[in-house]
Amino acid sequence: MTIKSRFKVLDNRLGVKASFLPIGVTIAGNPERLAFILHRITGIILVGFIAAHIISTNTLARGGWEAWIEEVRNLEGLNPISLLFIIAMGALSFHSINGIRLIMVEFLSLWIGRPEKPKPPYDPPSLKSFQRKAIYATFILALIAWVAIIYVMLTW
Amino acid sequence: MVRPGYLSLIQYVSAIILIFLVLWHLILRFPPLQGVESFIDTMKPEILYEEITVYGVLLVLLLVAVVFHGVNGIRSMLLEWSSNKYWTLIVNLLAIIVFLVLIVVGIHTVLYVTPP
Repeated sequence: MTIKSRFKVLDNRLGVKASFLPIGVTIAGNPERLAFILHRITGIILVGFIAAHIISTNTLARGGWEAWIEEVRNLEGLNPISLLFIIAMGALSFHSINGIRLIMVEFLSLWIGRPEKPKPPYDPPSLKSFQRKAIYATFILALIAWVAIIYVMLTW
Repeated sequence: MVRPGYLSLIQYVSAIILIFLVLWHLILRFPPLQGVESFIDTMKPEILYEEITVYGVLLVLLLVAVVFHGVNGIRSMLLEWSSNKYWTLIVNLLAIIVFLVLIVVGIHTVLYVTPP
């Protein structure tokens, strides 16, 4: 890694801004950063979706089954509400599959290889083990899961 | 006051619980499993009423795990903005209020649903 690209890496230190400005982050050679930012963005989307889901399913207790049937009709075909639902399902696919990877890496300390002494070119050692493959697998599996959910939603 | 380390541990444990419960929650919307023809039909009153009455405890467990995981996640993101004492207090209070409101609304759904 050259000195110039080293400065590029330093530019990545956007802190919390990175959660809201993913375009400002250089992810070249480090898919973990992309996974980290996507995990946060999908988490924010999911909190909104879950709050809306809990409140909308409460229609059952508040308005009875007639109100519920009206509510469910909003998900029929392609419309703004079903589109939001599809986006939430995409967020759910990525967040849950990446979450499994995070449990393996952060909670169980698997897939990250052995710790080593930092030496030039300071490539992250955590990405030298199975983790890099696991991150790519996460992106692919999340996409497959999302397509499968959309297929069930729109064609069944 | 709960120590931050415990909250982090509960965050991971709730994530592990959620992997199974969310998968179960999604599988229940799979039309062939319910013997219906479409995704929309899996949310028919008879099917949902049976689901809520039979699996009420699991739904409440899913509710508690998902609301805790979500609210605590947003709380830790907001706490990264600042380490100010008042900001921390406001964020923690708001997190507790949102957590309780969503839990109460969710439990209300499970307890007060009437037969179709």
